[in-house]
Amino acid sequence: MLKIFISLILIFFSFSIQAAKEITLNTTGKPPLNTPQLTGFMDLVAKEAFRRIGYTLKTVQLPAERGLINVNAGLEDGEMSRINGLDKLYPNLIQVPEKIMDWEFVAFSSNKIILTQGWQSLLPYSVAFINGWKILEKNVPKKTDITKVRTPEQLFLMLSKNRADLILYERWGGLLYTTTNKIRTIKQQHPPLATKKMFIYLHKKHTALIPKLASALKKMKLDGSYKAFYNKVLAPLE
Amino acid sequence: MTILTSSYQLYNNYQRYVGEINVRFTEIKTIHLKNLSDRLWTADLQALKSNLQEIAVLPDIQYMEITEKNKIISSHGFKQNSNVLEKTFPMTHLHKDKEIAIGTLFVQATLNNADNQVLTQVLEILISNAIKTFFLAGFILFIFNYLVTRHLHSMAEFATQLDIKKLNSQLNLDRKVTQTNNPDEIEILVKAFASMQEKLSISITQLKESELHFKQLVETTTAIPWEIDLSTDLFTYVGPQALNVLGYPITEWYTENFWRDHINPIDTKNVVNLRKKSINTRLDFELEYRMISKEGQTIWIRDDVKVVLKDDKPIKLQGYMFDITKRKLDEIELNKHRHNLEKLISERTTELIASNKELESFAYSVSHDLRAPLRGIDGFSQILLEDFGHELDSTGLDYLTRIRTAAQMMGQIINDLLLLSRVTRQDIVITEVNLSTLASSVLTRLQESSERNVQVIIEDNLIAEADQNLITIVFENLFGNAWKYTHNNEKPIIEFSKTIKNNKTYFYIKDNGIGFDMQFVDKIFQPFQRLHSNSEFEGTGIGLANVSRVIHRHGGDIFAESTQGEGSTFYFNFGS
Repeated sequence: MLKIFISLILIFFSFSIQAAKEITLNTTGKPPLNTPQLTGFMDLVAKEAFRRIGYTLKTVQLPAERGLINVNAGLEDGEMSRINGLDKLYPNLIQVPEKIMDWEFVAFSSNKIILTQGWQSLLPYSVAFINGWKILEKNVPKKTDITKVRTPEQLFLMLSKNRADLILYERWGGLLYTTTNKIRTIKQQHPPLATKKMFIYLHKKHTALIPKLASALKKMKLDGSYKAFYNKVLAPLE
Repeated sequence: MTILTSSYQLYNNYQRYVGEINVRFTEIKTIHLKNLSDRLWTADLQALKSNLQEIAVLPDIQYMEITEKNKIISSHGFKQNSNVLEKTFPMTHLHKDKEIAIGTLFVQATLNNADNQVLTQVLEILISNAIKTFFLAGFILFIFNYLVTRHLHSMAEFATQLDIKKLNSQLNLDRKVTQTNNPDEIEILVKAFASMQEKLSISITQLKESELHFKQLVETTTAIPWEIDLSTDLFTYVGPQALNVLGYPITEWYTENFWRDHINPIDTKNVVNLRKKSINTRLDFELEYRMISKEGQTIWIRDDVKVVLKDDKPIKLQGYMFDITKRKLDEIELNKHRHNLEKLISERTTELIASNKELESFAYSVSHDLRAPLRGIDGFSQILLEDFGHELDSTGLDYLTRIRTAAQMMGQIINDLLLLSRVTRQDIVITEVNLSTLASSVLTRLQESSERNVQVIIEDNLIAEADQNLITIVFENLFGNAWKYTHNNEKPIIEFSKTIKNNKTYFYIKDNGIGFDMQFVDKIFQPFQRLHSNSEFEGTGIGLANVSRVIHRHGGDIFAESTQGEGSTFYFNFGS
C-alpha cells in the first residue's frame, strides 16, 4: 500500500515537473514564418516538435546579432532558424542537425525580366535589397547598380515607383507582402537566386534535447504534420 | 536726423538677419538636400522624418515639407501664413546616368525673430534717445526758465494782481536792463505791457465816462429800468426813478420778494403766472398791474420785459416799469362814459325803430286810404267827361282831362309809395336765382308791350343768392328805365352781364340811351328825384329808390356810371 502511494506521488510530481517545462527561442523571422502569436510556419513546426519532446515553446524577437550573443551567453535557450555552421562562431550553441526549413532568396520585379545565369544575371539591372543581408551583399555582383534599404516596405515601394528593376528578398516574406497588399504587377522570379537550409540552435545546457528534437522534426516530415503546416500557412501564398 | 540714422541702422540689421536666413537655406541645399533626396529615392520615410527634425534645429527654420508628385510625403514643424521667407528646392536622383526629378523640398523660415530683434533694437534706441532727450530737455528747460519762463511768470503774477484802480503800478523784472537799440523779446514785452496799461487806463476812463453818460440818460427818463438775476430771483439793478414813483428806498428793492410783496394782491396771481409762462417760453412780454406805494396808494405799472438768454437758457429779466396810473384812471373814466353812451344809443335806437315802424305804418295806411278818394276823383271826372263832356268847351275839357291825368299820376305815386313801403318791410327769402333767365323774362314782357326793336344782350347763367320777388322789382325798374331812356335811339342796345370793379364782382345793366349828367349821380337813388321832366319821360321818381333799397337790404351795393347822350350803366351786387 505504501509502495503504491509513493508511486502515485512520484507519478504526480513527474507530470507536474514535465508540464512546467518551457523553452525560449530567439527569432529574427517575419510573417509568414514567425509571428508574436506563434502562428508562423516555423513557429508551428517548432512548437509541435518541442511539444513532442515535452516542452512548450516561447519566442522572443531580437535583432540578429543580439539574439546570437544572448543565446551564447545562456540568457535564452536557443535560436529558431539560423544557417549552417554558426556553432563555430558561437561555441555555446549546438545545431539541431535536422533542418527546420529552406530559406529561398528570390528576385521580385514588375517588368518582364528573365534571369538565366543566377547572380550574374543581375548585372544590367538596378537592384535593391535590405542592408545587412550578408548572403546578398556577398553574392550580388559589385558592379551592379545596388540600392540598400532598411525595410521590406521600402523595397516594394521602390519597385512600384520604378526606382529599382529588381528587389531581392526572402521568398515567403515577399509573397506575403504582395498578397496582403494585393499587388498583382510584382512577380517573383524563378528559380531562387539562393537556397539556404535553416537550423534550430540550442544552448549547450540543452544538449540532451538535440537528438530528441531532431528526431521529432524528422518524424513530423514523415507523418505529414510538417506538410500540413506548409499547406496551412505557405501554400496559399504561392 | 537721429530717426533717419536709427531707421537706416535698423533696416541694415534686418537685412543682415534676412541674409543669415538665406545662408541657412544655402546650407540646407548644400549639406542636406542630397541626403534627403537619397532617402526619398529609397522611400525611407522614417529617415526623412529624422533628417527633417535635424534640419529644424537650425535657427528660424520652422517648417519643411517634402513633396512627391504634389503629395506631401513628409513634413516637420508648423506652417506660418505671413512674415516668412520661403524656398523650394528640387530633389533629384542620379539613376542610370540620368538626373531624375523625384520631388521638392519646401523650407519656410520665420521672420518673427528678425522682427523681435528689430523691435528690441527699436526699444533700445527709443529708451536711449528718451534718456538723452530728457537730459537735453531738462537743460534747455533750465536755460529757458532762467532766460524766459521766470520773467513770464513774473509778468503773469503782475497781470493777475493788476487792478483797475492801480493801473499805474510798474512791472519790474529781475534782469539786467540793456540800453541798446535792439531790445530783446522780454524787454519788448515789458514795454508792450506798459503800453497796454496806458491804453487800458485810457479805455477805462472812457468807459466810465460812457457808463455815466448812459446811466444819466437812462435815469433821467420817467421809466424805471430794472434787471433781475433769475438764479437768485433778486434785482441786480433798479433805476432811481423807482423812489419817485413808489416811494420805497432803492435798497429795499434789492431785498428778497420785494417786488412780489408789493403787487396789489388782486393782481399778484396773474402777474406771477404770466411772468413764469414767459420765462418758460423765452418770449418777451408786457403786463399791466397795480403796486402799492409806500403811502398805501395804488400805482398802475406797465412793465415791458425782455427775457435774456444764455446758451438758450433764460438767465435774466430786464425791463422798464412805466407809471400809467393817470392813463389807467382816464381809461376807467372813459369806459364809464362809453358805457353810458352805448346805453343811450341803444335806447335811442329802440325808440327810432319804433318810430320808423310807426311812420311806415302811417305811410302805408295813409297811402292806402288816399287811394279811395283818388279813385273817386278819377272815376267821377271820367263820368263827367263822358256824360257832360259835350256841354263843356275846350278849356273845360282840358281842365277835366288834366284833373284825370293828375289823379292817375297821384295813384301811380301812391302805388309806388306802397311798393316802397312793402320793399322796406317785406321779409327776404334767399334762394338761388338765375338772373339771366329773370332778365330775359322781364325784357320779353317789355318787348311784348312795345313795337320797338331793341337789341338785347344777356350773358348766360348769371346766378345769385337773393330774394326772387325783390330782384324782379329791381330788374323791372332797371330794364324799364333802360327801355324807356333808349326810346330816342335808332339802334337801342340793352346789355346784362357781369364784371369786376374795385376787386368786387358786379352785375351790370347797360344801355345806349340818353344818359345823365354825372353831377346828379348821388340824387338818382333818392325818392322823388327826377332828372327828366314828366313830359320827356314818364315816371314817379321812386323806382331807383326802390332798387337801391332792395339791393341794400340784400347787403349789396349799387352805383351808376353815365355819359350824356351815350347811355348809362348800373352796377350792383348782393353782398357776400
